[in-house]
Order: sequence, then C-alpha cells, then structure tokens
Amino acid sequence: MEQSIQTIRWDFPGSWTGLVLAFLFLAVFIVLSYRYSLRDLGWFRKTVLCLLRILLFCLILLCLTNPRVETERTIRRQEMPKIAVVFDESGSMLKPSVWKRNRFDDAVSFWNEKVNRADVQMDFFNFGKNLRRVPAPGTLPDAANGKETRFYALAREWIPRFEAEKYNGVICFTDGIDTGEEGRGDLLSALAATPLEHIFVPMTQEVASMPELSFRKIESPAQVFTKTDNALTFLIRCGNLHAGFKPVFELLRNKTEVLSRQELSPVNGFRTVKYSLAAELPGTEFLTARLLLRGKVCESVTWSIEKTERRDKVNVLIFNGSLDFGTRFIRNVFLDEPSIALDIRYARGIFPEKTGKGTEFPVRDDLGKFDILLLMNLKRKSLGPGAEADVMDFVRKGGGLLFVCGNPATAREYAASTLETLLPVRFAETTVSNPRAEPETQRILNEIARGRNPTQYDAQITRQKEFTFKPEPLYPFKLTLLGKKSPLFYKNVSGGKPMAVIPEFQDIAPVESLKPGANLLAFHEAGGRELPLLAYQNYGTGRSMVLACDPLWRWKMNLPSTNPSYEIFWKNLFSYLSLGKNRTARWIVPNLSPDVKELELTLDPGAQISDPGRIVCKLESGGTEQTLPLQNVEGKLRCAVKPDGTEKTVRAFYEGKTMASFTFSAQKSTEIEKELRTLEPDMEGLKEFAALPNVSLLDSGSKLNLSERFGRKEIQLKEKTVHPLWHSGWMFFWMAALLILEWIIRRWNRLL
Amino acid sequence: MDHTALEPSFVKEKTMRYLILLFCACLCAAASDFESERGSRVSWVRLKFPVRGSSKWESAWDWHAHPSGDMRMIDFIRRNTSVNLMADWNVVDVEHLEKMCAFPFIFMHGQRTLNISPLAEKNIKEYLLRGGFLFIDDCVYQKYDPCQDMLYQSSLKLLKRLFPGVDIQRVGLDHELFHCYYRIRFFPHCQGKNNGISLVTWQGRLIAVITSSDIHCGWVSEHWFGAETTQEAYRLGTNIYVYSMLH
Repeated sequence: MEQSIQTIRWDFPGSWTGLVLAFLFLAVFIVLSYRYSLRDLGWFRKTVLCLLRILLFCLILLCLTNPRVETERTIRRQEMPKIAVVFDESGSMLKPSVWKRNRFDDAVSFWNEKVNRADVQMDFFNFGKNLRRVPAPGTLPDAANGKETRFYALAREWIPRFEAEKYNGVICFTDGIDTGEEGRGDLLSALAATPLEHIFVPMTQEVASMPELSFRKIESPAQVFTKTDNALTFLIRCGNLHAGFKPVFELLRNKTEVLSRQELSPVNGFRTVKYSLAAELPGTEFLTARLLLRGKVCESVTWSIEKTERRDKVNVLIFNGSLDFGTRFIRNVFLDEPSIALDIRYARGIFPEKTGKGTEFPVRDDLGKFDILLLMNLKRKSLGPGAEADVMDFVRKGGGLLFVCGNPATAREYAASTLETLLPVRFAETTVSNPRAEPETQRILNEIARGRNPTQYDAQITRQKEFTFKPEPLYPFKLTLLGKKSPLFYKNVSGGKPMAVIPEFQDIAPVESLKPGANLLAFHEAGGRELPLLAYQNYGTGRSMVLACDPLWRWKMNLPSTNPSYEIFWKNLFSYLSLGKNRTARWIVPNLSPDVKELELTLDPGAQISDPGRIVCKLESGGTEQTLPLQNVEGKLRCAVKPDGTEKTVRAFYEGKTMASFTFSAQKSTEIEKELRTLEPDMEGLKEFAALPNVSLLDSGSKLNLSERFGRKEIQLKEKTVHPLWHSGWMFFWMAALLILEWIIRRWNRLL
Repeated sequence: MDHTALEPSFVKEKTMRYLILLFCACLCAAASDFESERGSRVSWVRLKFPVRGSSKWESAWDWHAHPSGDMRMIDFIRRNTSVNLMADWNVVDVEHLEKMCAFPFIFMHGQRTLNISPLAEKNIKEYLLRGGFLFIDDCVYQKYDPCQDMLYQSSLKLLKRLFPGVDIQRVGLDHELFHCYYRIRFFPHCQGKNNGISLVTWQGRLIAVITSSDIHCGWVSEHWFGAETTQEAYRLGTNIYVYSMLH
C-alpha cells in the first residue's frame, strides 16, 4: 500500500503577523519615500515607480519566507513471520513406550495435526548431541546424534544464531531432559536476555525408566594451601525418584571419616551441594563423594587433595606516579609481615634525575616476578610503549592489579585508555580540578614574591589561623551484598563473631560506571547516585581491582592505635589479590564426575619452572605405568585420562623430581547408558523457563495457530522530500525584470 | 617537572623577583590542572603547644614564630615536587588529637622548654602511633634561650619518655635524608646550638625528625642567613617532607 501527502510550508519570524508587519513597513517606507521625493515627478509616475518597488520587495519577502512543498510518501508491506521449529531427537525421545510409540512420533503428529502453519515461513532443526538443519519435520532421526542430549547448551547456542538469521520465534518439541554437563542457569539467563519468543511443547508420554541419582559435575581443587577454606561443589541429577528411595549425599575423608551427610529431596532435576573444606595441616588426603539410594551406594568418586604450606613470599610492586603519604602507611602495615615483600618504586620524573630514584615502568619479564601490582596515582605518560599491554598480560597470567587514584583528578587520564579495558570501572573524563590554594595565602605569597618583607604578615596570619581549622569528615564505605559476603571486610576472631572492617575515605575519584561483569564491593552514596569505591573483575586467571578514593591513610589516622582495622584491610586485600598467581605446580581438574568420557587434567607448572617443555607426565594404574602426551595451551599442559573405575594416579615430573600428583577413582553401580538412564520428562526445568515473559509452555492437548501467535509483521517505509518554491528561474526572472523596468523608467524620466 | 629551573636563586635578587612573578603568572594559568599529576590531598600544619620559663614580656605560647616561613616552604614544595600540598597554613592545638590526626606531617617549632599537659603528651604518643610524623625544629632566640637548644632537649626527653627504647640517630651528609630528593651540599645550620639533625625511629617506623638548628628561620628571609644557607634550608625542608613520605 502506498500513500502520498503533499503540504505547502513556509517560515517567517513572527509567522503571519511578522510577514504582514514587514510588508506594511516596507510599503509605508516606499510610499513615503516617493511622496516626499525631492524630484519633481507627477503623481502617475510616482505611483508606477512606487508599485514597481513594492512589487519587487514583495518578491524578496516571498523568497525570505522559504515557501516549499513537502511530500511524505508512506509504503506499507506485510511480511510473513519466520519460525524455527526444533525437534528433540535424543535417545529419550526415541525410546518406544508400551504402545510402541515414542515421543518423537508424538511431536511430529502434534506438528502435523494441531499446528496451523498458514502464512508462516518455517525452517526445521533436530537436536541431540548437536543441532542440525533438516528438510522437513519427521525426518528420520540420526541415531548418533541421539546418544546425548545437550539441550541446555544447544538452546543457549541457538538463541544468538536464530536472532542473527532474523527468526521471529522458536517452537521446540522436547521432553526437557538434558544429559550434558551444562547447568540450567546459563540457558535461563540467555532466554531472559533475548527478545526471541520461545514456545516449548513438552512431550510427556510415559516410558519405563530406572531411577537415577548421579553426579553431573564435581568441582574440587587438587592442591590447596594450609590454613585456607576451600569450596567444593557437587552438581547432582535426580530422576524418577520418590520418598521411598531416600537419596543421600555423603562426603568422606580418607574413606572413613564422614565430613558431610545430606538427605536429598526426591524431586526430579538438579541439586547443588556445597562444602567448605578447611585445610589445616600439610599432607595428602583422599576425599570420597558418594550417593546412596535406600542405603546402597549408587555412585562413588574418590580423589586426592594435596595440602601444602605457602612458604613463598607474596611479592608486591607499588609503582607510584607521585609522592603520596599512602605509600608510607601501606609500607608500615607490612613492615613486620614476613609473608609480603614490598618493592616500592617511583616513576621517572618524580625525583630529580640526579637522585637516580625514578625508574621506568617494569618490562614484562620484570613484572612477572610479582604477584601484585599496585599502581598509585600513576600518570599515563609514565607508562612506556607497550606497558599497558604488559600489565594486561600480567593480570591474564594470574597477577593481581590494584589501581588507586589518590586524588580526584588522576583517574580521568585513564578514561578510554587500553588499561581501562582491564579495570572493572570506566572513569569519568571530566572533573573540576582544584588549584588547592587558599586565596589569602596565595595573595600573601604573591606580595612576598613582589619584594615585601615576609615577617610583616606573621601577626596577621597567626591571628587569622589560630582557631580556624576544622577537620573534614570521613565517609564510611557502604558495602554491597557482595561486599558484605566478601572476606575483605572481616577478620575472623577465634571463638567470636567476625570483626567487621569498614574503611573510611575523604576524597573520591569520579567513576562513570561499572563495567558489565564487574563486581562492586563498596560504594558511596552522593546526590542520589551510587559512586563505586571498590570494585574488581576477573581477567584471565588474575583479577584487577580499583580503589576509587584516597589510599585510606586518613582512615588509619582516625583509628585508635590499638585498632588494627587498617592493617587487616590491606592484608586481606593483598591476600585476595595474590590468589590468582601460583608459584608452585598443581593439577587443575575441571570436572571429576564419573560420567565424563575423558577426565581432562590441566597442569599449571607455576612461575618457578623455566622450561615447561621438559615436564613429563605419567599415569599409574593397577601396577602399570605409562607416559601421557601433554598439550601446551597458553603456558599450561593438558592431558586426558579415561576413567574405568580403577584407581589412577597422574604424576608430573621435572628433571626427575615429582612436581605434582593427583589420584582419583570413580565407581558406578550400573552401566546403563547415560542417555537412557533418565527418561522421566523434566517438566520442572521447562516450567522454570516458562516463567519468563518471552517463553511459554504449550499443553500437548491444545492447538497452535502460528500466524495468530506471531502475527504478520508490517513493515512501514517513509520517504520525505522537500521542493523549494522560490528557488526557480521564473522568480529570479521577475525580480530582475522589475528591477530593470524600474531602472528604464527612471532613466526615461532622467531620474538617474 | 623541572626541579632545577624553578628553584629560587637568591644570588641575583632582582632576576629572582621577575622569575617568581613570571612563575606566578604561569601558575595562575595552570592552576586549573594543579592536581592531575599529584598524590592524595594533604595540608601543612603548625603545632600549638605551651612552653615553660616565660617572662612577663614573652608569652608562654612560642609556637607561632614566623608563619610566613612555613608559607614560603609550602610554596617551594608545591612548585618543586609532586606533593598535592594545599597552599594554606593551619594550626592545631596539641590538646586536640582529632585535629592533629587530619595531618600526616606536623611541624613543631618553638623555643624554650616544653610545658605540655599529660593529655597533650598522650596525644603526641597516640598521633605518632597512628602513623603520624613530627618535624621538631628549635626556634632559637638567645634572649630567652640561654642554652640555645631548650626545645630540642625537652623534646628529646619527651620522646624518650613516651617511647622507651626509641632509636634517635644523628645523621650526616652521607645519609639518605640529605640526598633523597635534593643533594644537599652542607647542613644549613642557621642559629643556636648545632646538634645536627636526628631521625627518631620506633620499632622500625620513622616517627620524627628533630633538630636545634632553626632550619625554619632559614625559610623566612634570604637576608637573615645568606642566600646559600636559605636555599639549602628550603632543600632540607623538602627532603625531610619527602623522606617522611618514603619511610
């Protein structure tokens, strides 16, 4: 459909009133000028000349009003909605029921019989292990693709893909079962973030199945430091259970001592169990996590945890961009602390060249020797070429970066810089800088500079200043929910409530916003805004943190000398920042679940190994020993081991000495194929998705009209053109003609 | 930052005046950007304390001699270092701990023997324990101070009483204090008894610097002790300030 509207428009200051007044003024002015002309002219000639002049000015006024024709053209077009139709072709969908029908057949029947597909553009996909495009619904399922259901992972992946391919909606036929390793939370977040509408049609035909209680993921460190608390996480899948099964989770130390025992609710779905393991004394201990049904063990995983003392010092580099009392106070905190080695350096230009105190920003290798880098009031020009990239590399490899802006004006230099990409906040580009000079003092200094005797001001200054000083108030940090949980702001007191440590500040550096993914620990409320004070983000294996206020020495000065809060805060901060940097070798095992086909092990060789290429890795199992091939990925060495129920030990050797070892074994009660172990539809998960506004769950008895549901999309195009009416040859011709005619008449009458 | 070009040269007074005027003009132009390359904000302060042995002609309050000297020192530090020092002169009473604790560096200057209350003594101890720093300079005036180091001696006594076992170490020209920022050619002893300059350290922490050479009077006017001594007095004042930040 096409529509065109033409409108004539003009503008003049004051609109009609202005135009009429301008015309009247010009007309009166011209009439009066001819009425009282000094030339001797007859009334007829005066009238003709007067009219010609008025006509000419009328044309000029007409041009000044900018008359124009505006044409607005509107084109409307209807577009058919584009829908992605996704069928689950996993094992659970293909298992026949007692009626010899399976859920996949039900899904195809539903599609053919209950879905009105008129005026809709469709594409078809099947998923199991992978998502694949198929030509039509009911295309024979691929048995290889059905051995695993990566429903959550694939659905999370198809959202950006379907968005990019301009689909209007997704219909998914599934029983909701996922046998992959991804949790439901990621898909839930992805669905909440997309505008793409999803309709899930649950396929719920009953299929005879076994009860299931299994570990889907076990996260545990292989090596910990003594005197630390370490989080263990267990993701457990429950299926086809009822109260009579009495599902229980147990965690044992050295196969005998029960550390934790929890009865699990027999509701189908995933359960997460967390345990905080306190490492006290050094040594190796074995942990066993097991799941029990009716008192019988159905899954059991055993692994080793090596507990070592942290003997090496944490090396901290404080790189100053200016002279600041903050450095003195931080230095005094760690004066008696043997576990922290401070290296305090000053950028070139702070001290006169002769002192030799100023140094260049350390290069990448030099930086690598430190665990923490504290940049204090650093000017961007103090960073040499490539220094910002070196700092990024330092953090990526596990270093801790703390960026402190001592005064409000320092931070703005870093707005939109390379280094800022590493930091958890964006700095405000503009700030009102303070010259920091009291006017009367400045005036006296100027007078002295002009040659006045300085002592003549002494009495006046003393009189003025003796009783005037009032200290500025300090503001306490306001902690976010994350901050309240953070160990940074607490000190564990034996046998009592943890002692809260709330820093106070006076000057704040302006931060524009927090970056997505950054974690805000503390803020200051001013003018209805929450200004970030302490925020961090993880980057690579390290973390970067910004303290957007003065370096807190005023807080220390305001605390009684017996109160150790300031010292505790800085020690906590450095301890937290140093966690990412590992100086000794350790194994990292992302998932210890017995369901994984291959147990992936990653060896972090630590900072003390100069040539990781010489590391040899051996697998010991049942009295045999074999060398494992190692793959170097970004400085870390990877290998894989197939779990087969027996106890296996993986040892890494460097120059003949054992660097790190890891022992594990996993046992399962049954050998049922994972895909067919759980056949109960996971309605709980699908209902959780359907709670989102853009996701709906369709009852298998209802009908679906796609064109009504998604609607035909109307596209409207608008075009606007403007044609000026005064900018034409005729207009210029008439103006020139009137001017020339007047000139001829004047010449004829010898007026020129 | 140019550390040499901006130093006042007291040799040619007229030239210096023009230089200072020129500098003031530049400073006004650049005032808006004063803070961008500096550290956290800090201000200068003089400690107010009573002394003993005053005559009817002289007040018991000797703490306020020549604040113009402090102001010129503040100006020197602002111009020649990256310290974010406020151009302002403040006074805090030794009886008010919360006011003292607003300053990490306190300048204590006066003559005759200290005569402070137990509360004031407690305040000084607490201030130093919290991390504060004292620069004690004896303002020597022979008429009222026949020994010419009465404040110096009484301050030493006080520090030893407050911090038993405190380490007081007299330092020479080879010490870092004399070359941590400016390389000082000679000790600018202005007047009084020359006890040199001593660092006061408590449990590894620098808490004070003490002298009886009246360095402060060297800051007031170049006419009093000569241009060279005055220049070295400024430089030593800067070094003490910077040294307190580094240790």
